[in-house]
Amino acid sequence: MAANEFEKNVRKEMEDFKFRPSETVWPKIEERIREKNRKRRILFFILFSLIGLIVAGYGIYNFSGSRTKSEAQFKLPDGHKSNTEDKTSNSKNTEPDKETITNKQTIPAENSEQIKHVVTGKQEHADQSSKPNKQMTSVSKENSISRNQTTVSINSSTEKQDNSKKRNATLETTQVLSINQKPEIVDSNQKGIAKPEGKNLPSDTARSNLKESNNTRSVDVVTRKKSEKVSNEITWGIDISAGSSVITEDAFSFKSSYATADRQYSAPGSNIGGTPSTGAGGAGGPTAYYNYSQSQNKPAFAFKVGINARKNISNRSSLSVGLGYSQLADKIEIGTNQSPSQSSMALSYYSGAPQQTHTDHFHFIELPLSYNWRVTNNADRFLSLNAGVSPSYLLATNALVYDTTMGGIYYDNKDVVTKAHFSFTSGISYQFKNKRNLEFSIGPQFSFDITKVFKSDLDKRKYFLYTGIDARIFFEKKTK
Amino acid sequence: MYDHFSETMLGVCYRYTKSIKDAEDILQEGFVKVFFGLRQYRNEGELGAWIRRIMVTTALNYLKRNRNYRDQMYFPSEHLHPVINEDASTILQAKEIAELIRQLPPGYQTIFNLHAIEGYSHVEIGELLGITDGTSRSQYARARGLLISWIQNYSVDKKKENYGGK
Repeated sequence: MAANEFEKNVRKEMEDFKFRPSETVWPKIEERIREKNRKRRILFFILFSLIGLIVAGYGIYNFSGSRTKSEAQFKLPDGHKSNTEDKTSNSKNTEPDKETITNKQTIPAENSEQIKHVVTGKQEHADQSSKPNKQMTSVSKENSISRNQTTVSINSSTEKQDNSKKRNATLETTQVLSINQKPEIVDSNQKGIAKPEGKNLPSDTARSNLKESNNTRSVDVVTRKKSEKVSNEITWGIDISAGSSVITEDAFSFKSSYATADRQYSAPGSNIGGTPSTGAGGAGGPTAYYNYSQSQNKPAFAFKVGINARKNISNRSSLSVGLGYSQLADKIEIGTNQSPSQSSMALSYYSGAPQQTHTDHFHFIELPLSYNWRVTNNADRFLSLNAGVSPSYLLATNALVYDTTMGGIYYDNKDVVTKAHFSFTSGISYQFKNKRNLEFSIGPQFSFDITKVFKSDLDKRKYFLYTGIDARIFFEKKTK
Repeated sequence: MYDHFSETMLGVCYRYTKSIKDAEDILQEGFVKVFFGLRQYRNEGELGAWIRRIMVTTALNYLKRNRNYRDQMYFPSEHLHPVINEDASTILQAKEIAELIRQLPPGYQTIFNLHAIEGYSHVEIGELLGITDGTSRSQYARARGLLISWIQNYSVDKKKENYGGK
């Protein structure tokens, strides 16, 4: 069929149709592949960082140990409202902090039905006249959990109804108990009253007083625990650090690095490789020339910024994770730029006597994880020791790498710069809060990188060392 | 792989564009996709055919993305298409045919390439370009007629040249 013949012929002719691409196509493809690989690595790094952040955050959130567990055991159905009302509103002389007792007894669900047992007793005290305005004493015991948890309250209040007419104190004790819960209360009248010491009391009252004193001690203990209660919430903050960095020869050494260039031999009179040294070479033989060794690298300004999430794991310790950007740097002395046109090398490089200072900048994205331990007792102003790790990824750099060939040169080659890094951080900080629920932290910070900066062994610079002042601001949630 | 396939694939890209620079851009983009998508190649067909499909898809995306082509890629809905069974009496060389194909309007050029050379059905072309298969048939018939007339004119002109313009 004619119609199909045409298509067949065209298709057949077109199968052999070829064009030779220009020379620039492949380098562009290579460049695009490299760029895409780089973006992909960065994407993976960010992705894994976020996953790590989420996992760490989840771990921190659930890292509150038995305390959270015991609190959870108190949870009851919604029908059982917690009895957190202050039934001691009349007891103005009673310290509020001592009214609440955190009781960690487990209440079985089937026994959670509560009864309100009201015991009202009146007791006349013969010695009331010695205290005309005797205060009403109230001890309220509550198995109180802050978040929707069952509260078992024992409110004991003593009221003086009328000081002028009645010299008797009315003591009213209200108990709200679970059925199966057996609090150690012998008598409501004895239990609830804080009696003055030194009085001559009946023997039963003395026993009661003894128990009371024990209870009071336990109240104090619990009250102190309450004041040091660990916040479960994650606190967010920002982190800024500025200082200097240098690349050392050893991970934990402040000694900066340098390398010795190869000796290059050339004919007498030739100027290859740099300035000739004295005393090398013999008559008629090759002359030895010392070439330029790697310059000593000097510290340069560096900084870090990022966000942080902190979670308290105990009264004194906390964990924090973050995501940040850091710029590390070092300074080196380099020679003059040799353009590619003057050389057979495709890369531009620097050689000859050091004439200028070059600052290598390294841009990292990092995921710091640190453990903070409060040294001092004061929870509002304290010193804290910090230690942690920080995986990081190199985003970009203008670093020049040293090579001993050709008398010692510095050249630009991103491929020999290590991308993935891992460092240890430590520091000490002073932390304090202000009235706006902002928490500040400031102190020195040290960071030791354990990953070699350059893959090339010819460049003796190996590990980053960062020292700086770290400042953090945490935004605590306002508590009502 | 690049050395082996680049010339053939540039020939494919060249047929879809109006300039060699655009064709090379498509070739670059296509090879980047090839290198990143090699894991998806399951040895079920020829590697060349797989790469060719990637190049064609890349070329179509390039045409849609590039304003110079996009503005001219107009496909009027014509369900009544001319039926032309006329055949070209002469078959030209590959390069000459390619040049003539490239002189077609972009819409005709794309549909002719996809149907006549790549072997896509009109339904597939409709899905690729977002048009109906009827429109694809209509456009193809017009492109084919135009191309055949050009080939005949071209061969006549060529004969005249061979005989000294007599």
